[in-house]
Amino acid sequence: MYLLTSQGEREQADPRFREEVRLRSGQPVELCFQCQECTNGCPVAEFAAYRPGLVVRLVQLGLRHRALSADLLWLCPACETCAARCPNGISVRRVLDVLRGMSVAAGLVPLNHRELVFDHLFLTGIAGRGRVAELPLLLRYKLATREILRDAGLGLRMLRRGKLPLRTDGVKNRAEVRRLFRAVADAGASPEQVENPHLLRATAGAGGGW
Amino acid sequence: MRYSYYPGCSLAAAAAEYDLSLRRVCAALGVDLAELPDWNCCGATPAARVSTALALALSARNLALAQRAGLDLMVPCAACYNRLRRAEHALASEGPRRRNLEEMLNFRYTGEVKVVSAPEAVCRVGLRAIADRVRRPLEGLQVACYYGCLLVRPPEIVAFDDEESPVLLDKLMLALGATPVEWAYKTDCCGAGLALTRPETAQRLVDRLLAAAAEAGAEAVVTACNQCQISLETRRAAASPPLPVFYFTELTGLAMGVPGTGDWFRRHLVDPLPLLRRLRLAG
Repeated sequence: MYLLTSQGEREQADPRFREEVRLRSGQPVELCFQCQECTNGCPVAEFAAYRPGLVVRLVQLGLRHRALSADLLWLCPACETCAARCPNGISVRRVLDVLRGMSVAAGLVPLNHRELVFDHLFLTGIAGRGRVAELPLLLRYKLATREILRDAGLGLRMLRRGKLPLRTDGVKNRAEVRRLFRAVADAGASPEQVENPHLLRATAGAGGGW
Repeated sequence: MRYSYYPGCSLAAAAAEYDLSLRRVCAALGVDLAELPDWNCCGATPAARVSTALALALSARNLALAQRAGLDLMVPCAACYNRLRRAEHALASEGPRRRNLEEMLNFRYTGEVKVVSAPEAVCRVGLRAIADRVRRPLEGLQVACYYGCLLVRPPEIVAFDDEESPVLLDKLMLALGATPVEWAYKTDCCGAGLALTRPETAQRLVDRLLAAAAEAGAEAVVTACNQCQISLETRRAAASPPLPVFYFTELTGLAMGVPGTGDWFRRHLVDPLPLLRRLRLAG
């Protein structure tokens, strides 16, 4: 079955897509009756071309490409208002996490996508020292995204106020923290426990370069 | 009262004044804090986005350490609190998630040790007991108490106060002599998760909050979330209302007359001293 979108584009409906999202997110997406409570409560809905209720509808219809290309995937601030207000117990946020991972697996986003770069650096920092060191994290992010000058003034003000210390402590038992990353990456944990397998393998040091 | 203390990564850096003021206030209230030995990062939102299993494992390691230490775990950072509560919830359930975590961390969860947020732990001393220790009532200070996302959602897991209209900080502010204003944005998102990657969007969210707080008559915002405090201070438009953003512990410490307030306030990116001087609350 082909479906026409409002922009006049055709996409073949794929019912397996709905089942895959359902299984991996653990969310009963088939229950959504489009009341738009999620969209009404969403703080970024007004900035998104595809709003939360619509993304769930795309999943229901099996419109894989449309759903995986939705800008909301990367705009979601993870506030979970959608989940708290959904009368059917669906966390759109959880659905979006899974769609992000599927979008990466499908090659629809470049690996230097800023949200992916941030998550990758954040997690490799934890895998390395057991804790996040904010200053090195910020500098690495700025280098990776080539945005050195953006927020430079803010960074200096924070440095002057002692908000970005040059040295912070790490965990002593780093081997144990690393083991947790490996254990999760190697376990082939149940599908609803790994939203973004590519990124997980990269941070656990098991999946080659990112 | 005695707690294990989980500062989290942010309180050693951008939220240092939250850590400093909380330690002073707890000392003055007779609440002992013992930093959890060798705690690790909770994984925050990035770990949860990449893998629920990884997020739970990272947080659960801290709960295993807390169980060994034998004291309830006080968590000031709202993001850490949220993640640690989720791990606690998974460990308290009967099922494969709990068994997986116990195996990975080589421990048996007993449930004897609980995760407690810093505002709950402080208020547990008793609002009357806190009011009795106020040396300098915060008279004339109109504040918007702002709770954000991470303390209140998901409500079935974090179970912090009312999910849409929490009042714990409002009651505390009343006990300190300040005047909490009524406003409708207590649990709306400030966009902290977007502050680095999409600052323009974060700023729209922050400005919406500050405008609403100012319209309600507030001259300052009070929060228990370091993500909120930092994003409200750093992601506002130049033309937005110049409200300073306090940690609840800073105002508690100020009202109780504990030492060190100058060291907290000088770290703010929006200087709170002009407001405090105008109200004769700071020299």
